[in-house]
Amino acid sequence: MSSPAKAKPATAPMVFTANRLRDGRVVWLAAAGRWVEQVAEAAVFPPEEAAAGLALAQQDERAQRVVGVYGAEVALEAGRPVPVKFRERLRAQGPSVAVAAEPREAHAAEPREDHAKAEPRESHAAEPPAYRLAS
Amino acid sequence: MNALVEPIALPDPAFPPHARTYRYDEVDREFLQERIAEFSDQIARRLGGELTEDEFKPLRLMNGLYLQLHAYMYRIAIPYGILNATQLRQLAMIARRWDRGYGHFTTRQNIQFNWTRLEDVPDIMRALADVDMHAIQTSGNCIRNTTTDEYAGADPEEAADPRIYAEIIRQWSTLHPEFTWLPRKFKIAITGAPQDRVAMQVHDVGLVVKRDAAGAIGFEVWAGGGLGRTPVLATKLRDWVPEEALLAYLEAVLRVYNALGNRDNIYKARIKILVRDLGEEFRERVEREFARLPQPTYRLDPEVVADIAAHFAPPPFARLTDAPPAYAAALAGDAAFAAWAKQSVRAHRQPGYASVTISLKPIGGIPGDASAEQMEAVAALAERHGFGEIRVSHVQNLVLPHVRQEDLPAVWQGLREAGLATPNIGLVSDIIACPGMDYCALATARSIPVAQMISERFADLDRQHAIGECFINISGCINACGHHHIGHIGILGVDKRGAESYQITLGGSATNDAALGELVGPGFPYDKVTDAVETILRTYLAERAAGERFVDTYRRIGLGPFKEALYAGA
Repeated sequence: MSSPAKAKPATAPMVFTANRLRDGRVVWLAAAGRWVEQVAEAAVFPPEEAAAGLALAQQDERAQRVVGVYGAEVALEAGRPVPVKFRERLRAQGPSVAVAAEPREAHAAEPREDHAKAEPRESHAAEPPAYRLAS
Repeated sequence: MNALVEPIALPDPAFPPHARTYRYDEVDREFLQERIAEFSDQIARRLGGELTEDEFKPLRLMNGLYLQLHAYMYRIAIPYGILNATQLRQLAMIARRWDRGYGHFTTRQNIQFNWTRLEDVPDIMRALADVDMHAIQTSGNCIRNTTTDEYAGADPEEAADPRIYAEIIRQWSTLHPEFTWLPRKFKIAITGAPQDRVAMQVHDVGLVVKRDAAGAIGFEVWAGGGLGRTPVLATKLRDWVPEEALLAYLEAVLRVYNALGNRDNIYKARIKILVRDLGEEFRERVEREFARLPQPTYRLDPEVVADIAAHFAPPPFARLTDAPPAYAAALAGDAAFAAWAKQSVRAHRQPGYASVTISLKPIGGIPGDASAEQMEAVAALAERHGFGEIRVSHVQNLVLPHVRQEDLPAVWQGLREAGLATPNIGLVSDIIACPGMDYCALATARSIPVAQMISERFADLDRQHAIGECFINISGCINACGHHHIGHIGILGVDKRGAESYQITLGGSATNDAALGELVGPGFPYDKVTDAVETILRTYLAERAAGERFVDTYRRIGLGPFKEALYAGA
């Protein structure tokens, strides 16, 4: 993913975002150097501290925990950061079109089956996909 | 089924059981296992911190793995858009097990999963290899998946079967040592039909398989087409390249491009820029390189062609006649079936058979998306009624190429139950759309919701039929993955001072009369773009002469009336 790394000097409060290395999910830098999935929990850096925030975030990029660190301007709404730009709002909220929820976390621990030999379904009377109905 | 039908005797008793879709041999499978081991090791080293992203990125891109806005995206190759039922079921399994239960069919006849976890990729690769699939040549600056006509082998007007040559190109191009690191990606499309259904003229190389008066096979070769920020229609290089010289000629084209293509500026790196800048000199250089190549080394041996052709032999068709009573009765007795058949059923070269196009464009749906359940439903229908074959079209629909006409009511019923019987093929809601900013890291605006809004606005089937054939193509950025330049109505989403703005082009075409659309004027905000499309279509209906399609009217009257209608109050 392209990351707007050559950021101009900040003029607004900033948060820092990246993709988590192991699964690519969008994460936001929070207090104590944690990475969280909710932008509302992100640490907000005033413009004069943005460079320090970026440096902190890039430490974890160098440590290969996250990918593509960059800063995003935010506005504070009810004390919570909300990205100013539409692209980062989409990053924060997920696609604007309906998408199914994440599969259960346990999937990675399941043994691998011989998928190609799975029996065909008896009926093809499929329900419309859930992600279409979720809007 | 008609119990009285008798199977046609197969022409060769050695007719391979795996005919109709190319199957890997042991060499292919061994290579695939080696690649899986190699990339799994690279992933492990990346997860373990031994590889930086700068080191890993070119490796993952050589294996179809992108990092997008919300997650990794895994693009899986469907060589020339052909799947068998087992493969489609496996894709459904992958969607359900390692993604979010759906996949997105693309304009390169591939499928991509939007929520892949890096840590799951080795398992997904092994699951793909179980059914002879992979993600090679779906990204990176190599020769990408060659696309072809979704009705290949079924089209009654086809001069020769392009799948044979698409497979030959696949074998030639995969891991070609000279062309693995080209200046930029390279896309080839090939058709054997007189009607171009592969957008041949907007490819890096477009091939038309032809026969001469004696029945010998040769190729019309085009080069230098492309979309993106610099849309260009291809230039014809040769009217005829004999079959045996196909690879030599392609080798010559690629060598000239590889040597002279711009590697300093990504925006000028595609072959279209080179062909445009060199003009006639490009052709002369190709011809010189072609003449210089040791022809015996590159000669396409007729025995090799015949061997590969055997994989695409016709299925064991029964002797049938067209318009069987069951089909005729259903057409006469069920208006909904008749409406679907009118748009979705296509004539077949074999009497009593038809090709069925399955719309992945439900009203208000996401163009090109199919859920795991829908993939399984199509696989079951293909097995039951279509020799187990499925095709992916570059307009993001699926095709059952060989269906008995008498089975069409049952196929329709099965598709209805799966939510796949929208009768809108070729109509205004049969929209091509890229993933746009909802998924893509490069996008500057959303595409999918725009397609959904337009589809819902024109949901009424009578209205769609009144409009007639009209292709709307939507891209979420200048890279033009949604082929907006060649839509009858093209929509390009851009960022205008932080807000989504949509530029509209009119008059594009992807077929034999290929054309690039003309920009109608200033862009429209997100919430006005559907109104703009409606204004365009109302203007067309008001101006249309008898028998005209949208693009015909546009060519006759030009931009003026549309511009006036769109911007009259501005």
